[in-house]
Amino acid sequence: MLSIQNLKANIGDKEILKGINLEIKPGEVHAIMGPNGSGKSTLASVLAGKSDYEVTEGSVTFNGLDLLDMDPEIRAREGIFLAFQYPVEIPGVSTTNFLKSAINEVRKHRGQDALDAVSFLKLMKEKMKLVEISQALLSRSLNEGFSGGEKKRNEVFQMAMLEPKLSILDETDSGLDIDALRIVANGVNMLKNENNATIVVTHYQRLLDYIVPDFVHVLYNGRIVKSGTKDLALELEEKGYDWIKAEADSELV
Amino acid sequence: MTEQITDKQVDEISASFSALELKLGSEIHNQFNQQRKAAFEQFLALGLPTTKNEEWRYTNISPLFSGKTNFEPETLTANLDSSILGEVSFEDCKANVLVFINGKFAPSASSIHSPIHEVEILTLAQAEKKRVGAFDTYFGTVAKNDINAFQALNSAFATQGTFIYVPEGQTVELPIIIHHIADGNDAKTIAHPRNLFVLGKNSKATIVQTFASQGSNHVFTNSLTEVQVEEGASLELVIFQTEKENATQVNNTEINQLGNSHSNVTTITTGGKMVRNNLHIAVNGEYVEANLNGLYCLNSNRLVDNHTLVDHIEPNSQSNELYKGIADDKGTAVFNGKIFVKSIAQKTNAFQSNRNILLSPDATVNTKPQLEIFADDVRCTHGATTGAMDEEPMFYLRSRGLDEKTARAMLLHAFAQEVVEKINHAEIKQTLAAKIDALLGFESAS
Repeated sequence: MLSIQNLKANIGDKEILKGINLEIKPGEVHAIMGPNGSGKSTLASVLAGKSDYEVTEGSVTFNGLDLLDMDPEIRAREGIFLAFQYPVEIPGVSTTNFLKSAINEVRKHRGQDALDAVSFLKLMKEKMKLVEISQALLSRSLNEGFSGGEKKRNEVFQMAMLEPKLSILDETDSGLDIDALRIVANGVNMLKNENNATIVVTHYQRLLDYIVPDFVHVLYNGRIVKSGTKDLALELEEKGYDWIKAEADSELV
Repeated sequence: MTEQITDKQVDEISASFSALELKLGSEIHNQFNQQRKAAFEQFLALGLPTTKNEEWRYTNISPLFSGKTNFEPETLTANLDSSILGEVSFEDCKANVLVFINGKFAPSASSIHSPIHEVEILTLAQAEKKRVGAFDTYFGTVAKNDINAFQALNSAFATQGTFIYVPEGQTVELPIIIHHIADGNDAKTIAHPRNLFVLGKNSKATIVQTFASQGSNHVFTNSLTEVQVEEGASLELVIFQTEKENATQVNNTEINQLGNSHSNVTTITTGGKMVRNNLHIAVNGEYVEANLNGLYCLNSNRLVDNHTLVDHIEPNSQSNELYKGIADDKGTAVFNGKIFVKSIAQKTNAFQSNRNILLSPDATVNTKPQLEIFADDVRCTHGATTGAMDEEPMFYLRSRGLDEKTARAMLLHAFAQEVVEKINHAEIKQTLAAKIDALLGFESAS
């Protein structure tokens, strides 16, 4: 589904991604872990199309299409969803309002009919249960005054509504307590199926107890330096990142 | 600090004034007219402000008076272009409606519904003739001609306008909507609407003034509205300026609030080549609340200049000011918000906020909060921001599938809506919200 080949990206003059290679097939869950500053969030942002980053080399193919050539909204309509690490507050715009427009754009792109008000409301009620989010919260200005947990649940709620093919969860567990974590993870798990795929970007192993990955990749200094199964995550939990760093640095010498 | 008008202009304007005096004949000595001569003298003394005058630094009005300018146009029988009232109408709203074309009352387009015991709505001429007490008492008392040349000019030349009197304790159920249409179909014109609104003790009224223009010749409207808000009264005033590029406006609104009164003044400017609003609220009593809200949307090379002054003369009162602007193309916006707090005005709460979005690199915003506080037990805040649209919310919406144009319109709608929400009257608010959404290219999803 997703094929990343030798992806290099800068922010300003600084090179952050130094040649990422990654293959993701439908039905798979890939975890991207790594120490701070390794480029995890950059990778997520580049896949979503954030213009702050400049791709200098490499390619990303999504279902046979050139992803890097697409505007962010086209990527969304093609089925990419980024759950932000720090979801922004937008006063005056409610989740309900913008989501209705967004869903209909996505449906139009897929050749489906737009949802009318009644159908939209029905869909909302169904998906709200998944992340235990209230209608009141959805009618308020987006993320304004929301707690960390509410913001993250709102991200997963939107994911549930938009039914993406590839979800990228950018440190979704940051700032969450155990209960919120459980709800968010449960929501993600319920949405998983054999046709879609998930990239879980995380610093800590904890989330991976709930969202069990098929593959774990360690990102260090802008490169994937190690890949493995979920056992790799447990090993990192135990030993930290130093051994990986040492291994990677010695290989460069 | 102001320039003396050129001799040529003095001659022209004096000629127009003499012609007016002649026309008024014996009426020249009545209440309405007797102050004209003094006002005219004051205008000549003050002269027209140049950009060297701090209050007019960004707003160059001298082109208005260059060339032959007729200050007292003959009464033209202007016809309304078919679409013009549609631009400003509040269709779903049952209301009292008055229409003025180039400052002259158009009875055929107007209709009053409210009963007379609730409110007296008259043209100035009718009010003067009828010897309405409130008219005699308050006309010319709220506005001072010695500071502002345009007020003096209006006092000298204005012959028509609206008088509204709400007796003590009355609530006017229907809003009063006054449409000012500047007609430039035949010639370059000047209109001087002059209004007086008096809200008696504990009374309540919603008044809307709209300004639109038609035709292609230049039209200049110099309007002066005096409002007396008696003890415990509640005023909702909405000013909607949507003139085309052939129109220039100086809008002077002077409000005098007595104790325990409440005002909510919302100025929405989406049109006009150059608009200068002078809004002055005198907080002349304790436990007064004054709310000033403004929204200005400009493009092309338009200019919108909002000068506001809240004068806290008495203690224990509150004022809240929120002005927001969206400037595109080569548009220029000016905001000068003065808050004066006199030394006896202890426990004053005065809040002011001015937020501007620049949509193009050539758009300009000049913003100046100006607080002069002489009391020491007060709470006064001010804040002004100007910048391009925030990229983060844009990216967020785009990452959900909305294209750039739709996302931008949605965010601008949210930005503008904060001001529109301040209007209390539901139908007026909804109608204006829809007009602004159309301007911003926003389509509601529901």
